[in-house]
Amino acid sequence: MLEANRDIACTLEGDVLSRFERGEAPPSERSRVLTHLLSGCGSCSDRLRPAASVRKFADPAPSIHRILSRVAEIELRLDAENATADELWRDFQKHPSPRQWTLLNNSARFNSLAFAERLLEAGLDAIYDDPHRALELNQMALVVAVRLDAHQYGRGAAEDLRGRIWARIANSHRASSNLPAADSALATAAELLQAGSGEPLAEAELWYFTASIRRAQRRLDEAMVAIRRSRRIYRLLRDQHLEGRSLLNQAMIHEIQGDLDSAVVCTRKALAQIDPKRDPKLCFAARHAFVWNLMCAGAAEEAQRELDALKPTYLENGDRMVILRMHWLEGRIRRLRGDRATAEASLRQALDGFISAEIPYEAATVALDLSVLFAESGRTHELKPLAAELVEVFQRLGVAREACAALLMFEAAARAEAVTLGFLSQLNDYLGRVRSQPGLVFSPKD
Amino acid sequence: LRHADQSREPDELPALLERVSPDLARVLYRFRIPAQDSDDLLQELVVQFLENRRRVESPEAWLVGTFKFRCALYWRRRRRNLVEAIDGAILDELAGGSPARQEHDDLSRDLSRAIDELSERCRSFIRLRYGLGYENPEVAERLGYSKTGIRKISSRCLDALTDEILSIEPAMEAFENA
Repeated sequence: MLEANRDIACTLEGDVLSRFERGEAPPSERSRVLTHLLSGCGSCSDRLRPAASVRKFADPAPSIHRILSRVAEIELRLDAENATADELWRDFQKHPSPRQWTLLNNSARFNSLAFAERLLEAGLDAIYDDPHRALELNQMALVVAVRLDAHQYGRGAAEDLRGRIWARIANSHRASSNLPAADSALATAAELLQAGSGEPLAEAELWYFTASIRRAQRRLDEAMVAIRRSRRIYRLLRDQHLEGRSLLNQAMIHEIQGDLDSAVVCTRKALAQIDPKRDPKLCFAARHAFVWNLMCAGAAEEAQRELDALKPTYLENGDRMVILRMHWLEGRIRRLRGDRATAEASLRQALDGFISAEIPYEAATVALDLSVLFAESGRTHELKPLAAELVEVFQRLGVAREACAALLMFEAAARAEAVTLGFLSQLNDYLGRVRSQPGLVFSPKD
Repeated sequence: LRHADQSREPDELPALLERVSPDLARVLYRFRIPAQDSDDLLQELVVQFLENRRRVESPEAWLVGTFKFRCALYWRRRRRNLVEAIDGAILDELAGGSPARQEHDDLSRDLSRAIDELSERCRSFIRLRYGLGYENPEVAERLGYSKTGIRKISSRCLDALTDEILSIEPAMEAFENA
């Protein structure tokens, strides 16, 4: 009875309601539909409700042949675009960076999704060795992406690409210790991907980078949620290698949480899943992390054995950053084993490398390891030049004022020969936190 | 994201789609996609696959997984279009879209009925948005929410208001007139 009355009352044309539902109605029609709905028209509400309460339609069988005939031309175009991008890339990478910028800025032949992909691939490759170059390559990809004709590609493809590039930019900032810039780039990436097509690999990667940045900011609960989400998507897409990469990230979060057993378990699993052929550098990173975790767990002898076995591969294939981390690790293992002379040599190599690569916080953390070594051996007079060197590096690289002030306190204490192990431990902890909280002031307790 | 193994031969598209077709049909059924939209959704999926082929390790898993994402997104977007249309219509009306005072009063009264059914938090949000014409950042400042928090609250409250409007029963006099 009620339904019959509702049908009688309905005076709205079907196409007006359809336009309203698709969000395409002009203001005058929107107003008419709203008034009509507020009057309680049941049949129109029922028609709109599937979109409101979701999922109420019957299924069709997918018609593969019809779809293949529609996309045949697109496939040919994309194949041709990929071949051209390969050719362009071979030539492009021979040029120095300023010339690359000139080429990109002055020629439209680079404007393709495929060429932007080549830049992104190169950017990821560079992240291990030279985060600043990685950032530059990602910025080049962005220049290409913003010039793309969005209509030439699938729906949401341009937003997806720009979102992925901003996520890579965020990660490059993180790798070069610029966490505020990383945070802001990450927010841009999330916004763009939300407007994109919902491509799950892009989403999984966004979660992966989110975890890395939150980890660096010591927002460990958020990092853990993000890394689990990325793992879940990679598992759904059956990409074992990338799930392994996420596991490695998870291991690092466990390590910072002080849960070394879980860190070792995750690293072992990651090593089993990461494909060395697909990403030899990631494989190195996983093996390095495994030794690092053993060292942190106090298993100095086992860590030294693993490191000895790995060392030739490090030196043969490792990038500058990986090798610097190897020296750092070696220095810490040797210190743990009481071999101070060789520990000092290794830590010094790592410190010099991080300084010349302009990675200030890593340099400072290694310098503090070296300071502990000096303090333990009663060589407090050697802290003075070390502290002065650090202050100079921090000031030259424009690191946050508060962090510089902390190092000036370190320098003053070193000059007065008043540095204690407790002071070094507090400074180490402070430098870990100030990266994510640039305004944080160092106030050591006695 | 390291690219998938590029040394292997790319799978032939027709054979791949034939293989994965039963799974895609199951996704269409599960998500109750309307027949008139299913071809478009599938075509978009295939184009997206072609654009991303270099990055995909397991094409079958990617196609099925991505299709699930896209179907969920399809409904989310339809829902958002509807919610935005209702929100836009209310804002138009309150900005003086309806010239006749009687019509305007009727609309405000009917809208108030729907708003009264909402939670206190949503009523506060709606009062500021429609009553005082505040934008989201101003509402956030007034109610003490963060930028991301207000986006979520705005979306939830407008969703709830849409549901209320769609469940309004006709007034008694409408039956009598009919």
